[in-house]
Amino acid sequence: MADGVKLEAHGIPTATICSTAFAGAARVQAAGRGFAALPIVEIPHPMHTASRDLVEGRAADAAQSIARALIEGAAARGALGEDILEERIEIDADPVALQEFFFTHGWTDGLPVTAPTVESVAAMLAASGRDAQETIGPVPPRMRVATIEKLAINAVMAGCKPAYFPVVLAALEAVLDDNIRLYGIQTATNTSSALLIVNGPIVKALGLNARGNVFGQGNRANATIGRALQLILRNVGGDLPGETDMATHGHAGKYTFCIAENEDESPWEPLHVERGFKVGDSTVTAIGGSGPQNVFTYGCETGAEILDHFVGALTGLGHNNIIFPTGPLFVLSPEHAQTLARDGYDKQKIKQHFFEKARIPLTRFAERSVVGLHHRRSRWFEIAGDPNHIGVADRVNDINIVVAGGAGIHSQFVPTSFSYEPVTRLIRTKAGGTK
Amino acid sequence: MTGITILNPKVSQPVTPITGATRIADLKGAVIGFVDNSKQNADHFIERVGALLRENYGIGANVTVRKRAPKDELAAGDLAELVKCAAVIQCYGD
Repeated sequence: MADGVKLEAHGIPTATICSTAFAGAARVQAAGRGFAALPIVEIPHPMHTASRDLVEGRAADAAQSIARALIEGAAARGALGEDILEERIEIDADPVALQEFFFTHGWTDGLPVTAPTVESVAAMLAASGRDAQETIGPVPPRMRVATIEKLAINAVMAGCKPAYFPVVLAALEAVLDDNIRLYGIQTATNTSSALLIVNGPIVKALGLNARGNVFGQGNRANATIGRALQLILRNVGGDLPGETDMATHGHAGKYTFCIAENEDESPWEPLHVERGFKVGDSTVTAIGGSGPQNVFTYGCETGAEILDHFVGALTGLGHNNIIFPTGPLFVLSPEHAQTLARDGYDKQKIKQHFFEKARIPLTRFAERSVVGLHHRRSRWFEIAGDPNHIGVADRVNDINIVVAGGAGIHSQFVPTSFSYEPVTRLIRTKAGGTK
Repeated sequence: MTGITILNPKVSQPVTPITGATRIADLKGAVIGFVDNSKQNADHFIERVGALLRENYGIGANVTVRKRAPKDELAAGDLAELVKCAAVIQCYGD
């Protein structure tokens, strides 16, 4: 769809083929990019699993419509109806009535939100030190630009304290970097959401959780910073389930997906220092990630045994790091990190180990999958020189490791997707530094 | 009723419309570009559509580019090839 709009803008008539399950979303996205009349030819869904005969039959059925689209074009079909309200709304302050209003007008992620009053938004803005009318964007998939004030409104609704807002802004700037491929994350059937990893002194200053339940419940900063970003992507970017967010299942990270690295208990340098920042910088790193997969190293005593279990998780079929060249993320518990360090491993050695050992024989895949892997992961085959296996990263340093969590012999394999690489942004505070 | 003023979190801004391309008057002899976005079976679909357009509408040569991944943008080189075509068919969203 995006390619179609681009080609039309270049003066090339197009026909975009879309299966019935996704044609509506394609029209919404085309309208968001300025061309509601993008000619879309619908074909039955699904095509992925259709036999060759069926595919060719559907091609035959569509050929005339395709020709017509190239010759005649299409009438503009309006984007799915959106509820447009005033910028300032006078409303009954009754708490129950307020929440019903928010739900009715699609302002929420399915959970109640904090009312964005004039006063609360002003306080949120004041904490940022940014001009309320400064703009950030465009935000996919509807490619809208937001003022800092709009972002503050969403941060209030998420339940953020004003002091969290600079982190939210840095997070948004990170996910809008082209390397994150946010459009893909937000609109695909795949299970992906932008994971945020916070480093530096701001973790303690704001009380972010880097320890037990780091992916779970209970911490206001983690929960609301991640949620603020997701509300922005919904209310500003216009990413709505069934309209543009076509995730087959989605995951809980579409509500909130924000952790901090446990730098105190890590034996190694933290993620942001690996990525070129100073230890005293406060940063947020973003990457597209699926729900974490627990790796429970029951009975393992040595670093080598622990790594065997991690490699086992990486060499299961079906996770995103087989298809996407993004490079997997491992969130190691402090106990795992300390055992590995005791046995002579650091982050680089672990990455090298994964690169060399986490390889899946191509004989485990169907022939069509192997053809697809040679196309999607061509860089792996060029770099690794291993024609008989597929690895989980094209290069050693595409693999990322952070230390986070509490006591316990569990670590998390976070399959990553869409992003070309993680993106890290400094958190700019009101004073102009990075806390 | 006690009232408060709340602020709207949504953005509803008018989008600068793009003027679509002038449609192709006649497919006969036209060079048609195809974008294979690497979804499964897109290649077979394109092959069959291309053959039918040749047979029924007399299109000229085909140019097919294949994206590395469906959500990737068109590579600059691929875009440069496609804008030389009379029209482009993109396969497919699925």
